[in-house]
Amino acid sequence: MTAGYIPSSREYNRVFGVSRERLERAPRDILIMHPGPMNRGVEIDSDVADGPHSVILDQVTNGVAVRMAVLYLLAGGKPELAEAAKGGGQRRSGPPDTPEAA
Amino acid sequence: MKTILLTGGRVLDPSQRLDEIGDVLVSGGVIEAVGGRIEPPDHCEIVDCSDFIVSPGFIDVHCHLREPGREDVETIASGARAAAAGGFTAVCAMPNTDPVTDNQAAVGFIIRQASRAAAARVHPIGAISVGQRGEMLAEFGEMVGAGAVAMSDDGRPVVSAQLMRTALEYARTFGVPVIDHCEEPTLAHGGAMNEGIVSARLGLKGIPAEAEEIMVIRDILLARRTGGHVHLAHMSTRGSVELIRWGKERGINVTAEVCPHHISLTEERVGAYDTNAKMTPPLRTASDVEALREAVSDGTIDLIATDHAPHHYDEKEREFADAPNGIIGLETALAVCVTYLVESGALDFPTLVERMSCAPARLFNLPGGTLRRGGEADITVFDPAHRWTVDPAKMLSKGRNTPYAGMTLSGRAMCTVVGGRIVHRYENHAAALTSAGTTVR
Repeated sequence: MTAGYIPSSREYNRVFGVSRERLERAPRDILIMHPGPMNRGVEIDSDVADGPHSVILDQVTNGVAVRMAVLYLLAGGKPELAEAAKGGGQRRSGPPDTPEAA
Repeated sequence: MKTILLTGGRVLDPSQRLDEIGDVLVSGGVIEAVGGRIEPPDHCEIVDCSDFIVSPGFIDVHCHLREPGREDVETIASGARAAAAGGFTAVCAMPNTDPVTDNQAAVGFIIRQASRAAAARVHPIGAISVGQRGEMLAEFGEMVGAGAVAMSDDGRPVVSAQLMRTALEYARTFGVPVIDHCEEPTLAHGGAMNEGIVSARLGLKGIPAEAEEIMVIRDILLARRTGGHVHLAHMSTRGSVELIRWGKERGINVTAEVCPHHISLTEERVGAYDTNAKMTPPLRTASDVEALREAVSDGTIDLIATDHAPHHYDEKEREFADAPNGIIGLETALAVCVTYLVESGALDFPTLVERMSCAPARLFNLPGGTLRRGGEADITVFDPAHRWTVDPAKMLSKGRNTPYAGMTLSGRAMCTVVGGRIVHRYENHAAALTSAGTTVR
């Protein structure tokens, strides 16, 4: 086996991982973000990922909408037609969730 | 802890450009006062240091204490006592033990054994690769957290340039040097001594200087690429000196050490197949010795380290080619350096103290290396003029494998203070020998 850049995921967690102890040393109120997928116990501990500072689930939800918007625009979609493309609110009321909807 | 007053010595501390006759007061484990005449406080132990040099304690960044694995050959306790007898207040233990010091538990074991020995300090060096197999990076962070001061696969070269590159990059994170045993294995394979006219005469397979120099320049180039600190162990050739000089002129983060035997003996010392003159890298030529002396004088080589490598006498009593590599060095290093560097005119005492104490402390980020007020009281008192004949039977090391046996040398540690405690007195040496022989843990 050839050498990786880091000896082990255990050491990565101990040296670089975001743990509750490290969080408690943070100087002020902070937000914890992570784009996912998370490696719990490696770069982030579960009690941080699921803790009060975490906005990770919101970030992931918003991320879906942002990606959809980017894909819509890249595919030649026009912002002013975006509302109409939702189907004029006739078929659905929530945000679009399939490519056809755009 | 007793208060100690070292009186009337030549107080020599290059870290603060101090060189004067005076006293040093040690109290509570730290240096309380330095220089001038100091009135002895009540209940203090006075050590007369007239005609002696009082310097920051010597630090050996390269020794093999064999524990765990070969406690019959040396233990951390016997090695730490031998170090103190040689004037060393601290040594760094190489990780090529059995099992290899490649994890935090092994590092913690060395620290615990050293604390029980209560002689010279012992700083563990962690392995670069798991099991020193040269494949997977070991856990530097965990080992540094447990007290390791450097990383090395010493005993073996780091064959893979990619592993060396990764090690240098990763070690930067923790601010520790990576020490390499520079030996290109395909060139050195099967070699028993320096390749040259003497090896030809003796019919022994040689190790060419290039086996070292190829790895020296590789490591220097990788240090340039990564910005990591590479420390080159036991340099032995003129070519290596030129390459290190080249690297330093370019501001590359390279440091290097030389062993007392490489600045005092040549390949001729192998003589009639004397296995006590067998080590890696091997003793080289007079021209190499001359270049190494110049290099340690001008600072191209930063420090002196022993590569103390004890072996059982019966392991050394065999065919030269099959005998193990290495010699002991803790108890002869000072005398060899005084005799072959200072008395030969290559070095003055302040530079010797710089190379044996200040530079190791500074480059490896260790306590000691200074007599500054308030600092750890790690102090070596030595008599630079003391003439003595090396007798392996009178060593505190369990090893007897020294090429200096029977030689008369100058310079001897008279008193070694570690953390404000006297751990060696020359006048108690005979008693220390007896107790070392009977102490079994």
